[in-house]
Amino acid sequence: MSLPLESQTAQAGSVGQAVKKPGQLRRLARMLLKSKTGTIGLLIVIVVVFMAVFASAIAPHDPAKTQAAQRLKPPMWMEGGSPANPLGTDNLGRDVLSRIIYGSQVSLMVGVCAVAVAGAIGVVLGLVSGYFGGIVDNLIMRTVDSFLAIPNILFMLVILTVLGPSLTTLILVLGFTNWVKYARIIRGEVLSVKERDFVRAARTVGASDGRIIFTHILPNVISSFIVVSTLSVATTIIAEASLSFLGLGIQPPTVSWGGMLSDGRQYLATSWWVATFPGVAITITVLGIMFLGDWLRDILDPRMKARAK
Amino acid sequence: MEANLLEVKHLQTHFKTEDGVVPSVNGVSFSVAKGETLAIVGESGCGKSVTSLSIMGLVAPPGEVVGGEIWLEGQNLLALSKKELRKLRGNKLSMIFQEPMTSLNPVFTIGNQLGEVFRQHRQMDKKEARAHSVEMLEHVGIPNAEKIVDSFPHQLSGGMRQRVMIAMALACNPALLIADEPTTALDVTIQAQILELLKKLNKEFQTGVILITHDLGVVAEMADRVVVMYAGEVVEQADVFSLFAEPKHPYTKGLLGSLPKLDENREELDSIPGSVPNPLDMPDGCAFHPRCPAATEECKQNKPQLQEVALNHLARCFYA
Amino acid sequence: MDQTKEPLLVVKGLKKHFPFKKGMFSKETGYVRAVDGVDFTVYRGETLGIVGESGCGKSTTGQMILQLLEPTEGEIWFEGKNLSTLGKAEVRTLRQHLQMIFQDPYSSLNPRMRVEEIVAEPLRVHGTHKGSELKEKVVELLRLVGLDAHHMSRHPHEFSGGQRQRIGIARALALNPSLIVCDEPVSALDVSIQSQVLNLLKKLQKELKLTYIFIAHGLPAVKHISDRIAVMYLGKIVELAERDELFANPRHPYTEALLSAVPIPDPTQRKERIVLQGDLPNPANPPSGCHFHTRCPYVQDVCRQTAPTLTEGAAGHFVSCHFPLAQSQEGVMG
Repeated sequence: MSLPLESQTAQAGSVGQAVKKPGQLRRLARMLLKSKTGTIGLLIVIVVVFMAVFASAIAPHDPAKTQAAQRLKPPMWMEGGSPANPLGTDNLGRDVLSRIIYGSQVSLMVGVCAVAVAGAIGVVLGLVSGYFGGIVDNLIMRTVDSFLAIPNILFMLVILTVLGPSLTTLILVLGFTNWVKYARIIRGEVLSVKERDFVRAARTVGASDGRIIFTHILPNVISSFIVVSTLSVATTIIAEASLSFLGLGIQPPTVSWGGMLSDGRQYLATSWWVATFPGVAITITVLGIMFLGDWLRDILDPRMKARAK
Repeated sequence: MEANLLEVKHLQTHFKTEDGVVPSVNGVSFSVAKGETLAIVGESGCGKSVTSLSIMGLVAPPGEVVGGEIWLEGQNLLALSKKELRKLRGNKLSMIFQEPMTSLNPVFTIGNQLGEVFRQHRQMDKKEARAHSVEMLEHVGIPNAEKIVDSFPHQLSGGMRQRVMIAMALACNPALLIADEPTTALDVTIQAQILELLKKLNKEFQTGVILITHDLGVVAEMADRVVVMYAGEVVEQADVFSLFAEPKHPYTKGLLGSLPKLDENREELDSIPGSVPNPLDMPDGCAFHPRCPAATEECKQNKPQLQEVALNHLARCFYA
Repeated sequence: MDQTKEPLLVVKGLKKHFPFKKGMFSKETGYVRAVDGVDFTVYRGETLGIVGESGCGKSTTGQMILQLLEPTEGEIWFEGKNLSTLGKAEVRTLRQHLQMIFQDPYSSLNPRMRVEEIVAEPLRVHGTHKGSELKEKVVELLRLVGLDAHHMSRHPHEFSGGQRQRIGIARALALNPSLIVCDEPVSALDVSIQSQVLNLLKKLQKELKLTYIFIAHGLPAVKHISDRIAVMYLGKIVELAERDELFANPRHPYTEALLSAVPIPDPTQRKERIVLQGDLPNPANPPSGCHFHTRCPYVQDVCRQTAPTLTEGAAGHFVSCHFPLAQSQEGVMG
């Protein structure tokens, strides 16, 4: 145990509060460039989004086009590879690079939409639960508890098996299993923001509950939502890949990274590239989003912000 | 004349922030004699707390002591290694803080934390340390110390916690005690108790005390001498009676005039217009001139030095 | 105040008990009696100061008056109407005239809003001003509290503590209130800024004929601004009198000790204090009889058993004590 004196040095940090800020955007850019991982994360995300949006323009081949003669060709830098298929071809002779480029569409679509569904449900219920308290709060929070008590993967498997796998069901299932996280986080934030004096002040001037929730509370809790949801996009991409790997995700002919992994699994010993490159794509994308999310947390979390000042 | 207990010379502590260097303490000098209470007064951001942390060697990055000397009983604290300084802290040199709750570790009992001081600095065993802890708690006026010694910080009231902190700070009979706003978080009647206690202990142990506060009432009550700080510098220094009777610096005058007092009724209080300057954008000349009612061209251009304006009375003003 | 004493706010038997829970299976096990039967009247145009130490219930009282907390018991009459029997819509209209200034200028302004939006909010909510009229009104309010029109587009973090407090005051003035509850409005501010805000509050009171309830723990500030002062201890008013009367003739032993405990900013007046022993009792489990008996230097047997009631001694001087200190006695201070 050290003397408790050390814990107090933070006091010294309270210098110069009234420092003028340059433009918000310029400040963000400056803070971003300061963080190496943040910059890398943002670059990766930009590349992946670019890939997804302009897939048809940049992909060298049709991802679904099979060429029996070109089966399991290695990447171009290996013996037998050709520049026509830079990352080789799979068991049906489809171009791996093109499939990865098209696969980014599914990964991003599922990641972003599922988080949007989860976020919408979670934020609304979290706001309501935290702001009104009482019975409403109890009801919502017990629902949250019961959701947490069911193993996610089991729940998803059951639903997907019953409804049959498709992009929409996948998004809905991932959304419905993840909203609890947001509800809990937002509720916690609301509970603390609700006690701040500016909320009291709004009530003394006669503002309605709706106005208080949307103009006073929501803007002050949204930053933690942004941080968590960024990180969730990454975990959702992995979840989608896992489900596709199990055959319950995206169905052919739509390309997805998880599906590619699943297909390539059997050829791992002889043609490693079929499964490895989609795996690398997943890893890089997830890492990039995580880096970006960490950086966002650093700048949006007020506690961290105080330190950055 | 006896040598001073503490001698601070031209202390400079800077904070390097993203937006520039903040000179929180900018060439501060003062001394404390044995058994004397020196008050450092000023408003938030004037550098009084950073001064005390500098003496304790507790300035954390991005802050750094960049110049000056701090002599405690003939030893230059700034030349000591971290290890030597740690040995000194809690032993010869102690500090109490504004918020006793955050200064105590919530998962250890009072006896545990107080005993730690004895074990570390006096090499006592557990039993001895406990006995000394109880004795120390009684000394700072804690009723049934035998019981309190086994309680946890959250079981005590704010006043009691501050007493525990004082007991901890005085455990090794320090030569110098720094009290940083020791009563600001306490209620008036509890503040009165703690001030009485500090006075008693100061007399008894002949400890030199640096009292850091923004409350001029507390200063008048406790201090022998006073240092007034503004924007990282000493602007006035005098014994407590001269300072209150004949303040020389316009800032000190303004502070005294702005206080509502119990023994008078005024329709309007004096006030110092504006607010403390931005440390990254200090005015030229005298740092106080934008708020000074008597500022002249000279004040805007030249920086006044701290000079003796009466016997043992220093002020940083051209017109004092 | 003597000419026409028109009561603006009357508080009768006001109580607020907060239930607290122990254990996992939330069963109510006790009550913190934050406010335990408080009566007072605030007259139009005056400032009533409420002083007391932390936990005495002064802020809770203020929040009940503003309808931010629902009283457990008791009545609040404002402008001749009983707030607890009114419908929601009527309370909403009435509360336009009832505003608050908060202690912490950092938490009382929404960090995501610009000054213009903050000050305009009350006007928007009640739809009193629109468009350019709204903007003009905001400028007028900012000027009133000593700020400038060009401050409108900034965010709260760009201001110092004193300026933020001015923004909060501008917001409170927006709806032309008749009563403003000031809850520790200067205690978070620097010394040199406190006097600026106190002066501003006094100036505004004169210009706009405001009535204040000034809640604070700092006696000098309360004395400076108040006409009458109520002293609270553990959820009850122990003494209430005209300001000068209270300071010259404190009749409750707690008031006497409280006055004596304030450090005087004059080293030539160092004095022996009446130092109260012990801590504030826990309001969940207040002492029997007179709440103050555990710390009272003059305690008698009856104090431990029977609670005294707030009764009027001299004209307008209320005290709640079995053995009030004699009128204009000086002796006890020694």
